[in-house]
Amino acid sequence: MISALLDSFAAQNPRCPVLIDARTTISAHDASGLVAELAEQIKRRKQDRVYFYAANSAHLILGVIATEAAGLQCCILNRQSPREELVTLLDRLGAGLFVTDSNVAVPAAQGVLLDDLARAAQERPRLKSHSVSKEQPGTIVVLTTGTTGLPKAAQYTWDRLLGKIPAREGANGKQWLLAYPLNHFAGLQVLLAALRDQCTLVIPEASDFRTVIDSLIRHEVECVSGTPTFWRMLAARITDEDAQRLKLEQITLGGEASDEQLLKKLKSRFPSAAITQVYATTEAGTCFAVKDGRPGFPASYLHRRVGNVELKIVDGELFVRSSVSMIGYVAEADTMGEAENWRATGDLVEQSGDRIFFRGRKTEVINVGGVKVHPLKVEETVLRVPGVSAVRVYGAPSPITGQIVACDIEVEEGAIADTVREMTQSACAKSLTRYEQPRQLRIVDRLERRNEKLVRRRNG
Amino acid sequence: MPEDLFAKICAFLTQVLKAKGVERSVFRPEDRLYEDGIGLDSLDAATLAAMLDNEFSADPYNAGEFPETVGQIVEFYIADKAT
Repeated sequence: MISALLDSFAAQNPRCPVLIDARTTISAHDASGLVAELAEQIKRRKQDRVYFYAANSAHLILGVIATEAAGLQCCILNRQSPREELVTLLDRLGAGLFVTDSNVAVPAAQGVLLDDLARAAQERPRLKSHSVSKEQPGTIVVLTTGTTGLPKAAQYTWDRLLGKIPAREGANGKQWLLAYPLNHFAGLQVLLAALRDQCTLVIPEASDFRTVIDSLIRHEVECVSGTPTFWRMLAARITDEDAQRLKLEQITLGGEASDEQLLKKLKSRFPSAAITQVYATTEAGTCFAVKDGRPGFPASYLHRRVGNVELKIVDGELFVRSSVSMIGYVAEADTMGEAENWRATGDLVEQSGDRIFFRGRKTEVINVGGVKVHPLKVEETVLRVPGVSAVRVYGAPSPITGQIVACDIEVEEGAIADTVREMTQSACAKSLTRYEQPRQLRIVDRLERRNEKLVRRRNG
Repeated sequence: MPEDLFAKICAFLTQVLKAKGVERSVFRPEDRLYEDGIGLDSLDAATLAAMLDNEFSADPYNAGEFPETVGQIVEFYIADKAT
């Protein structure tokens, strides 16, 4: 399905660039041929599942499309995940081909370098037929924060993912920036929307904002989707001269709730751009989009079907019922199990007049710049540090990333607080991604006991 | 520019950079904070904001400002914008 979108793009606009990254610009025609050859290369490895552990690049995207063309299951891993987490995760999800741009090897998987695959495909371009035989439709697995801290793997068919993305008038032929990592649900949405609308996808060489701004200007990017954290940084970092050179038409925000201050700032900084806020969850997909430039969403959405979903509020929590949600979790039962397919989102909301506003999370999950972090995983890492007797990990508000991971530690008698602090920081740096690492670490005499469930103790 | 205030902010910057594997302890007021200077990204800036807020009970980011240089952080506190 995603490969068919690319083939259709190639048939109608063969010379149009479909992917631009730091190393290459690839036309739709060439991309279609490379995908067909990559699919053959991947099928030769005789694996049903393909893991990608690589930074955003044109080759990564072509590889992902090729797995669908080959009728295989694709899972894009977080490139920041440490090896030990990958080993645990792949043990649970099962064997497969491990395509990477790193020197990391995982015992459960057959490893191959992404560049080697791409080089082999480039050496054998298919000139005639682009069709690749496949026995079943390819699927995509999207990893999300699980209740145990280890990611849950939500499986989708590609057409279900695409079915949820709102169509936009006049969207064809635009330049999109890929600001999300491709393992992020929103990154896949950007890829699918760009292919569907026959747009060019620009992949910045690095994620720092000077590089991103330079990419926006150099490639005359018109459409950008990012988290509120991304937009806060971009709006703050961009100069007046840069802003005048930008050709932004579409600003899309997702991954976390947007506040009024940010929306006003974007409107004043980019007055000619349309602003869309997308509400999505990994399990239910894209639920709805809000285009009026105000935080929250209209209360009228509760009384009618919006896009592919229906909405309701139960005890202050937003529930969605989607006609095209995920197929299910891989290697795990779907325990959400609400009556009549209503799915709890974990988002707390409140009605004020004709508007519904987001008021935080019901669960303990911490949203750091659109990346979900479960405290349990952080707590387990901290509790392994000698000298730590108890820990509480929670989300502290941040004016930049919405929340940061905060950590209160009670040390064992006789332990030196500064040493425990340093060892904790070192252990977290080794075992956790940057988003998961505590950004605020306090050594306290005694942890708050009001809610004992929030305190985890060694051996208890 | 109050030396102790500047020194405190430099110490925070050193801590933030150390967490991402960068060793640096000397800064100048005119040093730019982000990728075109010291190299802070959004997570680093969020960490710095938390440190400043914890130390001074206020910080420029929470006050709706976005300092571009080390000196602008110092100026925020000198100007008593925190209060």
